[in-house]
Amino acid sequence: MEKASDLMSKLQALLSMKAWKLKTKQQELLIRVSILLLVYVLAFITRLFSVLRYESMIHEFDPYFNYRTTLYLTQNGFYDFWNWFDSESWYPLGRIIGGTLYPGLMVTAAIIYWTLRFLRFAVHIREVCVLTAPFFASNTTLVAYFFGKELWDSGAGLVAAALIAICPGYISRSVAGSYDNEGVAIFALLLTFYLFVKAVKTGLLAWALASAFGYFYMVSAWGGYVFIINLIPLYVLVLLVTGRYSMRLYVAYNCMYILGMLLAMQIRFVGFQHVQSGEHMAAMGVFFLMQVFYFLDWVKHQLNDPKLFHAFLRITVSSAVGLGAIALGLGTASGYISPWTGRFYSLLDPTYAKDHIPIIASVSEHQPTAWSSFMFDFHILLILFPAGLYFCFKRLSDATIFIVMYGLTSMYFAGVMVRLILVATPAVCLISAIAVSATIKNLTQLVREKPKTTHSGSAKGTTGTKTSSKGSFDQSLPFQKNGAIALLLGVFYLLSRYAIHCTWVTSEAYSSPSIVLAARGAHGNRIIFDDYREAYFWLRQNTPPDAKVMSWWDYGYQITAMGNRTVIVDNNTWNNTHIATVGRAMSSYEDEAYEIMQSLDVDYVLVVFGGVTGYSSDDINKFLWMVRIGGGVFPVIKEPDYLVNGEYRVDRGAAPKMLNCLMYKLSYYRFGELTTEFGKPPGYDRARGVEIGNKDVKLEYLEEAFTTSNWIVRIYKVKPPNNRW
Amino acid sequence: MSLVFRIIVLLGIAIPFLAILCHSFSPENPTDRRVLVLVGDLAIKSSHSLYFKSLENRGFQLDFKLAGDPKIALHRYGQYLYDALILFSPSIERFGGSINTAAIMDFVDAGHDLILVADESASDLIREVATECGVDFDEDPGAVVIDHINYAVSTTDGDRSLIAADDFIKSSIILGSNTIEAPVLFQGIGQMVNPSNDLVLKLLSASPSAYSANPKSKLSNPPAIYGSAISLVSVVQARNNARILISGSLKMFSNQFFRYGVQKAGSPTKHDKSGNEQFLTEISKWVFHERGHLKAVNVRHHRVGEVDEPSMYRINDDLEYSVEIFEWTGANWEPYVADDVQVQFYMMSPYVLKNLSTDLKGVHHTSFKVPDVYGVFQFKIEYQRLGYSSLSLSKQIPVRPFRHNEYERFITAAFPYYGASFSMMAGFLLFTIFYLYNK
Repeated sequence: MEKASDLMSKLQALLSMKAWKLKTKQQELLIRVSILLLVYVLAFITRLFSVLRYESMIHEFDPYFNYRTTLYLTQNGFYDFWNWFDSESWYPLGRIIGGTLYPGLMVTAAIIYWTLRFLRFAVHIREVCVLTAPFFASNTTLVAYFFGKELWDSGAGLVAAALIAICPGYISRSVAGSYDNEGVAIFALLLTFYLFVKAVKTGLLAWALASAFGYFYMVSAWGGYVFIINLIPLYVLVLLVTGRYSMRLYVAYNCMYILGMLLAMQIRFVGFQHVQSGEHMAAMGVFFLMQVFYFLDWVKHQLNDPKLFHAFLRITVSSAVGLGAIALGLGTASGYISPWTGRFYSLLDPTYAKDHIPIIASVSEHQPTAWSSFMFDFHILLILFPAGLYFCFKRLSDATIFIVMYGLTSMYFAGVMVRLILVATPAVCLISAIAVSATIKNLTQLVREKPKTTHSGSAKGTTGTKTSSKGSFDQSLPFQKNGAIALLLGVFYLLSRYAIHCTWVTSEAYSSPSIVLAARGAHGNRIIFDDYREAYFWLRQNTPPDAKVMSWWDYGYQITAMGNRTVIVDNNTWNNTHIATVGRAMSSYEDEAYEIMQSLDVDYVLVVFGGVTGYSSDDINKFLWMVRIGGGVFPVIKEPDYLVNGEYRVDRGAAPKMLNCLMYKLSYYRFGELTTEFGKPPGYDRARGVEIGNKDVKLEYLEEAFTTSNWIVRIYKVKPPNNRW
Repeated sequence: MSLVFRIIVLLGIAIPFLAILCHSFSPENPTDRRVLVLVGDLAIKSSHSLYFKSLENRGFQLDFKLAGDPKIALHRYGQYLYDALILFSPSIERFGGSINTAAIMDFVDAGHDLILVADESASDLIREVATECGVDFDEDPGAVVIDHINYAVSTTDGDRSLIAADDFIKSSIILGSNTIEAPVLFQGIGQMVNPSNDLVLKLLSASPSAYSANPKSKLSNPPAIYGSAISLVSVVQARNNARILISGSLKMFSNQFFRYGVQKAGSPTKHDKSGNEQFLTEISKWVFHERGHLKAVNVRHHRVGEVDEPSMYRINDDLEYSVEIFEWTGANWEPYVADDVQVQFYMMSPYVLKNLSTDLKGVHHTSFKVPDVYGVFQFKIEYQRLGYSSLSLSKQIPVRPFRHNEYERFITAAFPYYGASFSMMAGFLLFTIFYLYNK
């Protein structure tokens, strides 16, 4: 009996194979989830090129500081980290680490580390740090999906996720090992925007609250949060001006602003800046404007008389604006509201930094962007971006207005500073995704449209189909289908080119750790220059633990993190005078430099020199900035003394001061004896392609302590004062 | 028999060697022991025997060698063989063995002492060594110091180059506590102190009427060096506390000058014995670190009320600082008593500068408040006094700001703000209840 029923049920199961087939909606969900999953994995693994090519290591300069602080956080706990006074950097001033950094990245990595430890995965904190950025890049793809879905439809979301997963503009800052604030900040940025757009769309307090927390995470992670706190008020202002004021907007903005502000003020580095500095005033102004709008709405409701209301409106608006202007003026004049910082100015006016703050202009990633790097980082997105804007304008809503504003402002900033391409990338990806998705959707509809179908067929589709099929497609054009297929193929060709380009860029350009250099040998073989680490480990092993190392600020973080030695200046460029002092020492004659070094208790001087290997970002090429920054504070350093006909030269025609300044001597000490290239005279500088002008460098107050195998890093010891004089 | 002989010989070598080891120069026992004397002529050993005897009587082992001896060496197997060097060979052109100017300077830079003596026949080599030490002898090869007013009355000296000098440096540390009554006889060449060198001191200066010229030729040009700018005897204390004595006269060390009676021209008093012996003996005590050598030990600092040394201070901490300073008397360390030792709390410039008070047992101490500035500070003592070896101590200590929980928790002045926030919270709650449940 039982057996029979068993058999029956089996038979039924076999018979109902049709039931295995999912419904269209379920199929769609499955495909969507699996695409997202694949994109998620793809975003992670494409960033692992650097680990494959080199090793699991921290890249570049700033990440070393982040790594060092994370290590400290995991070893000493949060409170010690919060109160950490670091006596190893900025000697002798020291640095309050806890109060001068954005702790979001470190805390995130530490939490991941502690979680993994709790789950009994014995990982090293370095591995966690190396993989934090790829992990967050994967998470960003999810946010991009939801954002795209919110802006357009789920198709656009999927395309956006796929585009952002491999977009080089984002990968450049989030490869494995690039353990920098931006790695988590882009995730936080996009999340905040998404949640805010959602809050405006729904008018729900919960979404606004979530966006405030997203904003808090962003503030804790990166100084770029200023972009959010200016873009959102600008967006709100545009909505107000275009007459799109609504209760939803009121709820979303007020909640987000007030709670976000209170939360942001908990970050020590931000603190009261959030209510006092000029950069944050726009948000406050819009907040008050919002109240005025609400008040006016209420009055309008109460008065019920247009004429009276207009008079009232005129008085209220003019007095509100007047009051705001007076408050701003008074606050600025009394110093209660601090003026805009140099970085902010240089964003609005690209020439500002060049003239006023050489230290900002000296950083290569703060230079204006070249067209080629736009092409390099965005590829076809650069063309799809305007197309996407067109689609956005065609279907204007609160959400699309936001993405248009985000895209346009961030594009402008990307043009001002190379590094801000990163901020523009999510917007560009989203807008391009709209273009791609909308185009493909329209084309596929054309392709799938049966010739001479009745309207009932297409009416079954989604609302999107309805609207588009209402257009000119009813009267089908000749070769419409073939044209659509050709266009589709074209789109797929472009997208595949994009994928190929992204992969190539990632593997070739953006996966270099810059602390280990690679070059191609004469036979195409790969040559690795590991001089930096060689030098830092030499410092760690061979110098007294309290030795002070002077170098240009670029290498400060690496020396403290890898060499474990005290540095005079580092990449946290908060004290311009101290950096200028080092710049002055480097550009002075040896005896003058010796006095400066004595006053700073310098024991070792470290210079980076590329003349042997042809490594071009060495200290001689950065020397121009040392002179400018030094001369900006100490007028004894005059740039024309180092120039010949307006250019820096190191060969025989160089300026005499150039040939005898400390940096020149330290770079080229004993270099005149060396033959670097066959067929060239000894002392031929391969980085600059000239024979050096002063081959007989003699050092009086310093002595060579260590030079790495490829001469990239040279370390000198400062001699004690003469015994008998 | 031969075996016994050999053992005796071995013992004979070993015992003095062991004795040398026991009494050798060290930071704990800074007086020199082994002295190499390089003479140009072995006759000097007897003609200057009084000076050498006074050294030997004080326990120095003098090793006399001819300056041209090819076997002489200052160090062997990386160890210096001597603690001090006396150069009584003014006319030597080249030293024997491995000794040259650089070797002598290395010897000094390794912390050893030097007595350099020149005279009219001073060679370029000796002049070079002097120049390295910051003293330039008169370039003119025949020139000697002549003084027509402050000369010593003498029957033999016709050109008035025998000078009775009494312009000593005013320092009882260098010259001993007994004042030198009789003038010092000097006959030799003058020196100029290099103005760019601030470590060299004029120990015995010539009178304002002295000048340096060749007595045998007519003075056609004004003399290159003259007056009290001429230094007759100079000393240098190097940064590592090595001490150097430079004299322009070999004769002043001789038995002859030691025994001379001296009468300064124009002075009625006639001294039976010149001041040379007292002057040069006292100077040798100073040069060989029997006097004026300080050491600082037990640098301690801690918060008031604590004992252990912290690794870091906080701003506005009260701290105590103490250091023990001792002076070497030639035999043992005596507490050094002075009220002018200062400590700096230093970060690029001194934030605190305080005199240390002493307890007469060598401990110098003070207490002060850490300034309201964070950074990497140093406790610095830079004690440089005439005649004493220089003390330069520095100890690095970071000063941190307050921790987040070290500020005052409740401030009276902020009560209005507390009140405001709590009333706001209460008001909000009431308003919510009213708004939600009214109607």
